Amino acid sequence: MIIEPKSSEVGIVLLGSFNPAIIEPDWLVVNEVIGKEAASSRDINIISPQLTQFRVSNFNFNVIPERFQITSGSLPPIEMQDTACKIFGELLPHTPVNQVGINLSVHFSVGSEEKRNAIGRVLTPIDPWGAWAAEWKDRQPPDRGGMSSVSVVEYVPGGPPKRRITATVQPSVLIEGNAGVFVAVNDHREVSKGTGADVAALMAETFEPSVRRSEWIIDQVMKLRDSVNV
Amino acid sequence: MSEPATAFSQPGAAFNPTFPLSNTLPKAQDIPRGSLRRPRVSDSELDAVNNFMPTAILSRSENSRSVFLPLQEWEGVVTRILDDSFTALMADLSDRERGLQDEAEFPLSDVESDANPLLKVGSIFRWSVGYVVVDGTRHRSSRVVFRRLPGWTKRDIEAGKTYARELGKAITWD
Repeated sequence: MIIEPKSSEVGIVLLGSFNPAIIEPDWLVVNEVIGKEAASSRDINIISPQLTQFRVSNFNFNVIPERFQITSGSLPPIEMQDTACKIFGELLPHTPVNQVGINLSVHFSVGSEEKRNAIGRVLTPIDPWGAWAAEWKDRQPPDRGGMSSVSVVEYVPGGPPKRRITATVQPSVLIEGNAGVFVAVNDHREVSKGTGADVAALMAETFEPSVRRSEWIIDQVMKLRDSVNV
Repeated sequence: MSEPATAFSQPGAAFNPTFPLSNTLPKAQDIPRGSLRRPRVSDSELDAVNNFMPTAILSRSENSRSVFLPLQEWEGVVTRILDDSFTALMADLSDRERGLQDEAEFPLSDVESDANPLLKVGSIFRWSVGYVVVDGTRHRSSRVVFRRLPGWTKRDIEAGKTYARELGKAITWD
């Protein structure tokens, strides 16, 4: 990426039918999804039939009966791909899954509050907001208004599965000095009446290309840092 | 932009880097050249990463945020296991069409103890070289990760049999 992010997270989200209680660190170790030593670094919030949340070996797991999510920020994406493929390709191949999301989000600094404000004005011009925008557009922080969140979606032709890519840009709460931008890209696929095995096959083929494309999309926003006149 | 609305912004989970950094690396002359993932990465930068002295093992902090920034990645297949090292055929992932063209030797100390059962001739691994940025500080990273791939399922085997039958039917004998 053009700008080194301060924070980055890759994630897989599946919508379907899951059993949160079985997804826990020792189950992952016994089934050789992660190693015993890697699993010794764990932070369990809750494991229950209704909700499971824990961190193990730099992966964050968050599972409810309708949703399975795994995220990580500090590992090569291939490890997440292999983890998801192992879980759903070998251990839970019959799990009903109907939607798959591959997510990438970053927080990065554009250098100054002025620069960030200028980027916000490019992405969402405020002149169309007429007299209302005229009332607040020149106020200084913390009273300055403007872009709060903007999303753009690409409907990808082809398939099945149906696929859409959504990029969302917001001010970042992580970066100091009001100089940060948050960008999240969601690559979403509808795998109607799919199974865990279908998801594993899909991941094996599409996960890394999806992450690379998301990085490229984020680069398009990052380029604005150098193109806005401030 | 307006002040961030915490209802919308998602800072993401805290990151807790605990994986060990490799203390030794394959010899610099063994590193494939010429086809880097991004043109902005120079050979000298790759050299700098390959010849680094080990940095401190990252300590765990609930509030730290870490980012992995890859410079170069290869996929390898283990060809031999020796007393203190193993050799592998490597494919540069920034130039996939070249295939398994490069050979490298890795010290066994590069293999995390968890991965020892996975180290066999024919095992597939990913070698990622880059940086881990923790709270704004860069740490060089070289990671050898053996792929924990799913085993063959009954469905895969049946699909293979079907494919073999169709291939057999397609062969015409004189």
